[in-house]
Amino acid sequence: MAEPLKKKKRIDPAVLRAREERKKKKIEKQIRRLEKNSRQLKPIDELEIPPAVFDTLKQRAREPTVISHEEMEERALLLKEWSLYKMKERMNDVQLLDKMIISQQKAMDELRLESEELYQEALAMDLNVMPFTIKGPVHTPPIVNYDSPDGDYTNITKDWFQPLFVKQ
Amino acid sequence: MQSSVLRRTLLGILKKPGPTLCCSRRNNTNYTIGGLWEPEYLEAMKSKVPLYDTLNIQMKGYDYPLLESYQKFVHTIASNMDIDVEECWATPPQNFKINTFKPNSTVLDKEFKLSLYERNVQIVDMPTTLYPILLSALSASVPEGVTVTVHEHDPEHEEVRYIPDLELKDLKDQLTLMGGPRVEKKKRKK
Repeated sequence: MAEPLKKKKRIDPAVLRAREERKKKKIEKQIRRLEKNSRQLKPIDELEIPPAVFDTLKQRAREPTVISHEEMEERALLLKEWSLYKMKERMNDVQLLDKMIISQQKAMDELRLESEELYQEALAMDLNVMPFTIKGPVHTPPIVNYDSPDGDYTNITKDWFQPLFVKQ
Repeated sequence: MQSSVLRRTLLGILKKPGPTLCCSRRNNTNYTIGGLWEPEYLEAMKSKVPLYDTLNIQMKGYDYPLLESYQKFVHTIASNMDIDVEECWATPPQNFKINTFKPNSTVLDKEFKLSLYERNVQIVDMPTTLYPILLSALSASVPEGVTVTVHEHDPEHEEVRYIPDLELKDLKDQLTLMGGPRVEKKKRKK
């Protein structure tokens, strides 16, 4: 048996708006609270200790081996030679860079004496080299006429936007 | 004719590189830039060459010890060239699963799991003249299997490093559905 339909009460629009404002205020307060806690950086796989290793750290610890006096001396001398060699290499690099910078500065000065316009053009940002990609050399050159097999590449990186477990 | 050439070369020799770029444009003004009482070194300290704002040198490779030592190398090169290196960071790697199929079938032959590691070096305020030199230094020294990209910094690159806060996102979406944040009334100070 249906009761006679109730008349819908007319709610004052101001009251409605006030309700909406209160809800918004609540949400904003929550947002502010969450934003205060600083965001977490994603963990970097290669820098994390795998948990299996972490658990067995004590088992894996070893005592340092005893090195004879002569061996230690030999190693120290070798280290000195190596560091000298590396230092010379590094000095060469730095000097090369300095030479490049100085000769560029000289060239720019000469250019400026020649023509101010060209100088300004040379100083301007070059959009061809922004962005720039450099590919490193490969270990072996590509095989000539290589018949590559069929296959696919799938990206299985962890997607942080999808929760791991979907709540039912 | 000859005397003017001589005069020009003499002036060229005597002229030291760079009084400021700004001063050379305002050749015959009587007033100084910045006002009468501003110290001159403020203007002299500004760079005479246009600067790139923020650049990211992004290095990607499959071998991460090599990548890490290359990052160190890039850092030292940049600091030797007196370029401000602001930050260096690592981004979590991209993991790929690569399948090869046996010929003329979809039977799985081999499966490989590879990770593409990434390192970044951020450079701030680099003069345009030094940029090509840096690029040639990088391309001369790039190690095996590493791809280097130099690009401008996007806020997106910063976002990728952080775990997205789903709750925060949900709340923000809710707020936009409800019609945007409230307009705050200006509070009057008593």
